[in-house]
Amino acid sequence: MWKYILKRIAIAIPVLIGITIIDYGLMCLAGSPLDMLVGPRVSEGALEARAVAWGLDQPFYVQYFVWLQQVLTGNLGYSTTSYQAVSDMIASHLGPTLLLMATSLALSLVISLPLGIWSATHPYTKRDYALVSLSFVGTGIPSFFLALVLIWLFTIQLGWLPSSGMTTLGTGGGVLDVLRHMVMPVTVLTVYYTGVNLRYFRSSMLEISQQDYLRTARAKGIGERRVVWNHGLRNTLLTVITVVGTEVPMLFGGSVIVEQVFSWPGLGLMTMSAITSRDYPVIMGVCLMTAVVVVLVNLVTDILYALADPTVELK
Amino acid sequence: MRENGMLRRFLRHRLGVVSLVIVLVIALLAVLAPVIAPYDPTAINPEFNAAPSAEHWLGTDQIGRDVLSRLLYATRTSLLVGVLAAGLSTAIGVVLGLVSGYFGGVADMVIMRITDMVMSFPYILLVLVAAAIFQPGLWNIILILGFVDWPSAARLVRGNVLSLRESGFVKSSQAAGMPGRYILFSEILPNTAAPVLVYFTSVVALSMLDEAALSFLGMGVQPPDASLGNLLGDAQSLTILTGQPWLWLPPGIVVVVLVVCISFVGDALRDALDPTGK
Amino acid sequence: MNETNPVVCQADHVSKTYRLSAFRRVEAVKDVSLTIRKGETLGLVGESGSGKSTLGRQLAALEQPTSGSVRFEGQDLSDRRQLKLVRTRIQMVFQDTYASLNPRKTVFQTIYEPMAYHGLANRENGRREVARLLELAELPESYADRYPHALSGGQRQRVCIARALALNPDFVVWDEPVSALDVTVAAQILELMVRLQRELGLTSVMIGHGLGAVAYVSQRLAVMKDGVLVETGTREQIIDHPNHPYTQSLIRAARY
Repeated sequence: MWKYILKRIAIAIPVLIGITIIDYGLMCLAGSPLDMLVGPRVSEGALEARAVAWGLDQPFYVQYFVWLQQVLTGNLGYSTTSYQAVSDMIASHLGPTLLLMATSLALSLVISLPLGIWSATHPYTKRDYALVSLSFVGTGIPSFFLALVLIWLFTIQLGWLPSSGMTTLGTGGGVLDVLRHMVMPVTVLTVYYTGVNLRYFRSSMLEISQQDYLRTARAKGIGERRVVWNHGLRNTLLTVITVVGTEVPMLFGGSVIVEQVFSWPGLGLMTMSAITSRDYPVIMGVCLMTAVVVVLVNLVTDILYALADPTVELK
Repeated sequence: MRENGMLRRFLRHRLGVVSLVIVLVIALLAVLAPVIAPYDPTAINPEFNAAPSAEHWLGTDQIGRDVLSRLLYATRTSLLVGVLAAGLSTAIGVVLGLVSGYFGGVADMVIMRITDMVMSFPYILLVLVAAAIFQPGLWNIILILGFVDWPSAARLVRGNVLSLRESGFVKSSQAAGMPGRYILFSEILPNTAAPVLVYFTSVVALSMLDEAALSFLGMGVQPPDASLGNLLGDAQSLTILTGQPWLWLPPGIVVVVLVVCISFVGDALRDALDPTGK
Repeated sequence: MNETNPVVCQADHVSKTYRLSAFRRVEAVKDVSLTIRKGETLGLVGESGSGKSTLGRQLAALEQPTSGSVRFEGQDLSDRRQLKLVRTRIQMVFQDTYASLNPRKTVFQTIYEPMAYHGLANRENGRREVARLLELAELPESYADRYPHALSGGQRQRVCIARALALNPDFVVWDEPVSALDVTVAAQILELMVRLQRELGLTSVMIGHGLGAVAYVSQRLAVMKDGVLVETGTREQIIDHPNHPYTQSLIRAARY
């Protein structure tokens, strides 16, 4: 099993390198990557000196290593619109996004897991069909449409909930205030993920329970229920791990739209404005960071999976 | 024969059949947009911001364009993008999956690593960035969506090919000295067509949602062309949201109906094509 | 009689190891050497997991051994060019009849297409050729337009046999051809095998786990256990005077 883990880590490394290369390549299409790291607040002369020092006169593959070195020390460049360091911007916007993501993911798990298990243990009943259909609707509604509908209903018609920002302007903030702002964005995200997870849990539980029937048929004695439960529980854990692992990358994406509609000051909003203003250092910094996080999360997921199920093998 | 069995199984899914009918009706209306639209979608009419009335069934927008006509053309555009983008990504995925699964070795490793890498980047980010670099627009969006979405298809096909490769009829063809080309296209491909078809329907739904999201954000289909997404994008202003629901409710509803129905059709298709199923 | 016939297939110290993953390997076949002469049928017996099917695939050149060599009429089959020259003369019939036929092709397509590729049939005589082969396998000509799912297990096996014979092979490996069939159907297929071998002068390897069925069609027998060749000899030698205890246990089992 440890060999599997080591091998898994070994595979992740070329993928990470590949990601940096893709990111670098895309940046080359958009401009000069080293230029973006340098930052604008320098005079012409200093620019020249820096250019030579950093090797801007070198061929682009040498530039790649200089760029990589800078990235590894945390220098992701400077925004062309706000002149802030990209790494600082990411750090300050990460919190709100994580708040939204974590809450939505947790809520959707709380709802979809029991429903998924129930659905899998009562398959093909009317209620099961209803749940599955609902999950199709949940994933089929575009998040921004749902957001608009919610805003129209709760902000405009009823005036209950605020529709933009994380805190109300002028007030000091406070937990309750943030919570009020969070209700609608979290609802939108949760609807989508509940739909996805419900279907996923249902289908993998169904597969597992079909095996369990055979197991129960062959098992003798009182111990059989416990065997089924343990087996079922362990597989549930595995499923949850896999699902959460796949959803982390999606959360970054999903938040872009939701943050845009609700003006939520998170990573998504920052990225979106960077995109509209073609602020490449910011765009590329976010891409790189999220891709790296995704690879690491996948790695951790696989390792957790191996720890929970030692018989797993490398395909 | 075999085909009748499939049809019968499909027809048993009432939800799937109803959804298919709905999708076909909407698609027909969309395709016939140039013929049946009451007005030219870009034409500016004297009344603007008008509520639904007898002359304009869904009212007019801020510049005075007839909403119904725009909606018809928008549906047409969104369907076009969805189907073409899905077609492109599925085609790429199938080819790469076939090569990867059948020939194995270095090609397989390389293709799988590239798949991992592309799948690591959050999907929307990749698409948005590509749109930013290559300029948004109808055909660019189709290309971008197509080139970003192939990894799942490739994985799916590769899995199928790997298991088919060991089957008796493939080995018999190998024993008969048939060339690799023949085995791939005549033996393996037809037997992986069913899951690919089901996958294709789900990708069409996804691509439509993605196009809508992109256009909503302004990075997709550009005005004056209408797509379901950018019609919704206009609704981001509070005045429109409050005062003119006829502008944004219809496109939203059309998107939801189309996507949900396509999903149901795909689900029914999957059960119909798999005789062991359920 | 047999000792003077030319050698058709020669296996020398053949071993086959499969890598299940990065860390687990299975040695399916360990250092097996066999000689098969023209016109004879060698029966390869062993229980599940003995490596007999794997060995069969090496002999039929569907896989290459990890070490050792398989020669066909003296030519080493690990050389791809050599293999290409003799490819159609070595054929195999498989056990799982359902998975052995492309579910999306008619019987006609399955048999005709390889023939057409190798120039053994064309549009004009294709129908006739396929009918001839079906008749050889004791199937009516009308079956040519059926799909595999419309055939019974025994009928599918006959189609597989017809397909194997279509390319005029000299050497056929039969991998448990009757193991999945009913007793009466199996008996018919075995009879067919004996007849074909006699009429067409085939050299064969018959693989099975039931000594009775295998011995029925073979003149020589080879016993395998856990990837190793345990004993070989003529049918009479093995059945009447088995040396190895495992062979003896097989015979006892067959007597029931």
